[in-house]
Amino acid sequence: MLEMTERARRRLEEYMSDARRSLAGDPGLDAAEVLRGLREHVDSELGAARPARGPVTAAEMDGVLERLGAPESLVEAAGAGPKSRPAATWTALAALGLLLVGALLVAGGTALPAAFVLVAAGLLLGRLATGGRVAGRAKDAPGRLLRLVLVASTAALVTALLVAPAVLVWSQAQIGGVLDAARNPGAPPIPGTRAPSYWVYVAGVGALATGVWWLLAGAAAAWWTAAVRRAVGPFPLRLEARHGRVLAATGLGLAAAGLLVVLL
Amino acid sequence: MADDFVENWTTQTRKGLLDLGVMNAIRGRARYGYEIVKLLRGVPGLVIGEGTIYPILGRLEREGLAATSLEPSPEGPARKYYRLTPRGASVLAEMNDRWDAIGEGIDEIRSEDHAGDD
Repeated sequence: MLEMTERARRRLEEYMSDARRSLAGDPGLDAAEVLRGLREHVDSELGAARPARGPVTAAEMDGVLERLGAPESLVEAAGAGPKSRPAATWTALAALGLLLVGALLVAGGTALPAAFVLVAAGLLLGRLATGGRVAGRAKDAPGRLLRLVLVASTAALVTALLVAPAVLVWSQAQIGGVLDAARNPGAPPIPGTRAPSYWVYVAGVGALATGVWWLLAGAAAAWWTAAVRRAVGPFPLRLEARHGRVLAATGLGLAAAGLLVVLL
Repeated sequence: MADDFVENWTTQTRKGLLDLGVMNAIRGRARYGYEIVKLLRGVPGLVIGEGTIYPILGRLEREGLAATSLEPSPEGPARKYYRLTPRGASVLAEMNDRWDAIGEGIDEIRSEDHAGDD
């Protein structure tokens, strides 16, 4: 029996579970036999000279699983021939366009609600274009275009998740300034309408909100690592519980700093 | 877009050739899955996801082109060995003939003198 670390065992179990799900899509395949072959492959690949090298590590396991390829590609391989994906290509192009326009609007700080809608639509289309491959590896997506969509949509998703509270606080602060300006037409335009202490306060609230958010997100990533990995995959494939703990600790520090600023 | 075209072409070509590679690997002697993968690794660009070999082996078995047997392994659990059935050998012979004919035809076109084309 191959000895492996707990993390390596979890990686293998997740891969086999994804493979089982993928193989279930083709009733003509004997899934149990294919899984047996995959397991035999892993044992053979990692078993050589193992006693001298200790238990299999997660990194070693990742290497073998990566060479095996995405679980979703297993059924395709058993099929009779290649399937073209022109619809996916157009969806990918549309997703890229939406993400680009949305990102430009966000960067420009204009039409923020519309920008967020565009980014969200781009994300959804991006995930659609990459189909079942979101749980696999980026290199398994067909063509450079879909890989680009995969990179863009994942980067947008992770960034949006991380900075969402700060953006919300900032936009609320801006709206507050706009309302003040509406009530006092003679007042100078924002952000000059506010004393510097107001923006320090806004920064404090932003840090507090972002810190609490990171604390929650980090805790979720630490406790439900596999689920989070699947949700934001494929790039955070190497996401581990310790990354969640680091994010949670950073969030805690940020929240404490923000709270300090707000209270003072 | 040219890269996409080449990639799409490679993917399509690879799928057919994987069957040919796997069947040739178990022609004449029985091999187990990992042994076949190691053999095919030597063909540049043929095997991208090594796991795809296993459904192919399953399909060959299901279609009666390969037979299997469990053999004890010195390194652990018994291994599943695959070998071509007589029908599989006959199908492979035809596939190899067609592959040779296609290869020769393409080589012939490639070696033609295209000096007058420019």
